[in-house]
Amino acid sequence: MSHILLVDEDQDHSTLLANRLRAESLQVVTCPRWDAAVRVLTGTSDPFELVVLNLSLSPQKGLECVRAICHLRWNPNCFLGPRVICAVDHLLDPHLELEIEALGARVVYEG
Amino acid sequence: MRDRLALVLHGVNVQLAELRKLVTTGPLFRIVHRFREPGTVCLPGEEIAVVVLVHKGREYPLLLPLALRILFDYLAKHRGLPQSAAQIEAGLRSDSFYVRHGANAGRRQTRRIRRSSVKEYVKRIRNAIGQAYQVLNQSIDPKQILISEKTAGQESVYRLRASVQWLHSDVAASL
Repeated sequence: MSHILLVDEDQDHSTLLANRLRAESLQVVTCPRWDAAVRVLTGTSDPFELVVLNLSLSPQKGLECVRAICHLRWNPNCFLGPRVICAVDHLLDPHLELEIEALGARVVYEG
Repeated sequence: MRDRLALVLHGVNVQLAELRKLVTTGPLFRIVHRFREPGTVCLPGEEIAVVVLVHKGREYPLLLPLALRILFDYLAKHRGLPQSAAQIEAGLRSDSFYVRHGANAGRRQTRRIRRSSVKEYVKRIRNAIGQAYQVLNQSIDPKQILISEKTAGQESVYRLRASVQWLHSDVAASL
């Protein structure tokens, strides 16, 4: 079963998305805080395959989190870092989007 | 909200499908042979010009010196057969493609790959693959691509888990 970390400050959105992912037989752990996401990722022996971050409320804080998560993969103890998807409900600043894509994450627009 | 999330779910499923494919078939490499004789393909005398990692339609050349290009090509041709260092050395010495490597250009370009150096060469190839993936910002462990496994007798055998395409060219200019 795929193991996904969902980082989302918006509680309602997080619950909805987590339920949809679970309905597709995916195992989801939710985390409402940016600064806790890396700790969650590194604090388990069962590696996450994918991280989904909701960047809609605070894209800049989200970018820092994306950067920290993407850099995890170059840690020799954590080489197989997870893939990262950033979900947003509005158009991102193009520079921000480029930065996210350059880190190896993927931006997905809702709706 | 339900429809709005459909694109996110699609993105998640695409990423997971890509991961599954990578785990089962490995990444795609292209190996370019040049100096072939017109009308022939993959015969002795050709040169292994470059090994390229293909990711999402784009090509990233691995920076491999001659000995590593030869070893990579050999492991790619025999990727269904895990081989020990001694088997690899014997295979390279007995295959006229590698014995006459590059001879069509007027001078052979060969390297003697000894069993004692295979382990180090494998490490260097993994480093080159890791560097290519670092450029791509992709989290792939090169040890999952160029695999080494222990036999019952504690000997290591090596195997390339990847899809490989060979391209052939008469001259360098057409690469």
